[in-house]
Amino acid sequence: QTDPASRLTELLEPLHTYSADFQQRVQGDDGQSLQDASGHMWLARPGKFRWEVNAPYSQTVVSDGAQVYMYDPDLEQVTVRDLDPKVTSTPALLLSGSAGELTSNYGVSMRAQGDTEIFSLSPRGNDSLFESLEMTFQGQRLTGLDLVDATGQRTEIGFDSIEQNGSVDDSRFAFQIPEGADVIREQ
Amino acid sequence: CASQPPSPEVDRAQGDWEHQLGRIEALDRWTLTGKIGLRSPQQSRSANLDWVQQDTGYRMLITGPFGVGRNVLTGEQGGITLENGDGRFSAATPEDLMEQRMGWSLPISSLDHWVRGLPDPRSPSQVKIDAQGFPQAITQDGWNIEYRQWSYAAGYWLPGRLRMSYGDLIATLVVTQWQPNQTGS
Repeated sequence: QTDPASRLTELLEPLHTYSADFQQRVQGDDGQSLQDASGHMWLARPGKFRWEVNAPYSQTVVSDGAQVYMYDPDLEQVTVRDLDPKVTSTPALLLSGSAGELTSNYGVSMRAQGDTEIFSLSPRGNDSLFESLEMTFQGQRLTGLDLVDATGQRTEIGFDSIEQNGSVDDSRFAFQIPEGADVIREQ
Repeated sequence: CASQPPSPEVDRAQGDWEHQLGRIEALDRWTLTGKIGLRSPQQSRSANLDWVQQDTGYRMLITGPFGVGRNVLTGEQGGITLENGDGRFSAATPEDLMEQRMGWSLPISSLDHWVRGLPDPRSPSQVKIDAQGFPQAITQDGWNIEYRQWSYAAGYWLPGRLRMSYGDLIATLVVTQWQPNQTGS
């Protein structure tokens, strides 16, 4: 029985690119949905991703491997920050980091049912935005990501129309700052 | 449900505002989705806003990207509470609660009027009117609220973009989806 961390590495290592639609649900503490958003995510590991949220929560988050751009078209505002460990607590970046980086920053446990493997990750440091993260793989494909914060508030992200290791154009991970957008550089 | 910014064939016309004023003043139930942007020399923030209003009670979900780092502000007869990753807190006013727990705040107590294009009746204000007779700006309690865009939703003209400034602080509220008279999510 391989240990959970190496099994997770086994599943993530061959994942070079990933593209999927996502549904994101923010749950209240009695389980009702507080916010339902949808969009599309592209990953090119290591370090590159694009996370596009559809209206009415329109937002684009792009990492080109060096910097992360968070663009809000409604506010016409772009926040730019360096790609760094603190930011890796965002789900998309977590997935585009190297498997080794992931398993060294997080304690990993696993439970399996049939061809579904669910990995629970808890951050070793205490500065993470969330208290635990669950990654669900079905038939070796990443299909879900759940984030739970300190008070048990849950964000569930489900993926479908998944394409793993397909060809993703590198321009997908470049971000042009739109004319007239308000740019905020964060350290 | 709600349409986004004014649909092409429907534009604001002279008299539309006076015609709907009674209904806007009576509107006390809605669901709205939007963005909050905050710029001041000390800080800048942006967040998603999901606001459900029912009579005088409200629930505002303020979240960062990925729904992480969320704050749920609830106002009811009994009092005002804020719940986030650190726990559950209460204070006399929503403004204090936000400052204490989030490090920034919005004039929540007046926002339920400003977001409908109305001044808060509890303190003096000046209202400037635009060419179509709609509120262009409200000055009140040191705030200057400019109505930059209007949306047409379920028979109401409602503000789509508010630029609220107070000294060197600029707060932008963009309402991306208005659902008047609806509170079921």
